[in-house]
Amino acid sequence: MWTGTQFTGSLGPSQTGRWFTFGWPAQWHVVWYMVPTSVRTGAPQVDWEVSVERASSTQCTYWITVRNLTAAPVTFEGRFAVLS
Amino acid sequence: MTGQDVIVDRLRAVPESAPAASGAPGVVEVAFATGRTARVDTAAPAAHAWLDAMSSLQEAGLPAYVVVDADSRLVTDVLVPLSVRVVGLRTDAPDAVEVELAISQARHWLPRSSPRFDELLRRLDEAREHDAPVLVTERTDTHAIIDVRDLPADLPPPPLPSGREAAREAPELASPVSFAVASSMFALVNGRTACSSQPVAPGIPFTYPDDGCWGRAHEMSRLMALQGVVSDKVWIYGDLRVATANNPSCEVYWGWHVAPTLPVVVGSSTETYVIDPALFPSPVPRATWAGVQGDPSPTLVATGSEVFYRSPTGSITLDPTYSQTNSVLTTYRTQLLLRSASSSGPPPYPQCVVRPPGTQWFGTLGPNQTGRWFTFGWPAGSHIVWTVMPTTICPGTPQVRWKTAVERASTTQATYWITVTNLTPHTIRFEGRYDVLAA
Repeated sequence: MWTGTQFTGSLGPSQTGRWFTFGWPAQWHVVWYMVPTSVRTGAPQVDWEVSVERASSTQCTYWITVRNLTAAPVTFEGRFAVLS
Repeated sequence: MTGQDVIVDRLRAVPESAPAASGAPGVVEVAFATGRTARVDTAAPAAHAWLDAMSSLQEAGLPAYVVVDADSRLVTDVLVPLSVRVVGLRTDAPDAVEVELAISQARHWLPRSSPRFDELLRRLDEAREHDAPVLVTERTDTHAIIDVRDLPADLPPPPLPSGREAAREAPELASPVSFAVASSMFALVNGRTACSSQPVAPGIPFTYPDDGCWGRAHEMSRLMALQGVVSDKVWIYGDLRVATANNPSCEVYWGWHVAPTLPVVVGSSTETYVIDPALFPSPVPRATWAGVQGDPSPTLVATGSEVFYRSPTGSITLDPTYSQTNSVLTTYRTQLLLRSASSSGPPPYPQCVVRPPGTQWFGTLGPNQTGRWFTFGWPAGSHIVWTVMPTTICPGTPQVRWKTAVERASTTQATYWITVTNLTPHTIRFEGRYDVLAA
């Protein structure tokens, strides 16, 4: 397994945004997770949903929808892990 | 039971596939060039595919084969006639006559069980004898011929090969490239793969391997040339039989096949690599490409990329304006569309695929459908994540999302429930994948 940060994002209060990242080998097993970089304690800041597009026989595109659960701006890292 | 009527004609007016606002609710009318009309019930499962297919054919000036109920005038099926010449009939098989058409790589059959066998065989034989262009319609999956008729005068005849030998039977016009360049050219053309369930121009229908290789090859060569990379082509002739996940029967039969090639620098020499996303996920050596096509002693011929079609006897056709290329691509995109909307559904077909490691199941979801799958007996002490990967190719928008829920079935075992949602208005197939992060 190996990991990385694919993008950094920011969202306004209660805002939802969608990011896509393309050219990933479709045979890889990849998971996506977000980690806030702006500090705010006491409650969760973001959640996310992943959807996938099969772009060709060999490649796929990931679409990641991130939701800011707070009333304050949030910045975060879009991280991935290639499991196999 | 009411009778059926068949209309084989070019389209004059086809409404958009969205339900019409006017006319009878849920029913739209299509008009043919000769003035006839038919109605499409937009509630029919394949209605939108039929309308999209007829619209594509109309745009390309190609005819459609439309079956309508004689009383209601409602469309019950749409097929794509091929504008071809009959170049061979083989009558030695017990259950069907094999029909060789030009230009077509596929093997076509006239089943002896056809109620119109005698009539269709006579028409095919006359067309062959007089070298007369005809419109031939066949079943999409079996390539069983169901109709043969004269080509209408207002339709351009299929190209007549020049009869001269290809100018360069063994060209090396293409300059040697690195494997990295060959791989990037492969990625370039593979990235133009048409959506299997909604194929539109300018997508290349790589997931309809049955026929149309010469159009795909010419388009691939054009795309590479736009990047400054000159390709050649390799033609293979023989009794070809290729395993594929993109045909419901898991194989296709060809009389010939063609794909672009590039000379690739390998050490101190060069080797010919073939760019053929219909067969492989990367560039492959020419011998590898030929080796999967089921004929131990095929004939291989190299030509320049300008050759659009080379017949088995060596006659060639050019298509410098790409007008024939576009017709071929439209024809086989439409065949793919109609196959995907049929009971076969879109490719790839799970029965043709070996389940890869880390794949727990193959799933299929209808348009905008949500389904839930469960899998039990997993060690509860293991850390497991679940992901979903579409196998039906459709570039442009996200296709699936999923959610995982877990049930503790016993002190030692867990059951995972995975809910998958199809985000598209078309049927899709996917793999349900797992990874054990820690046992």
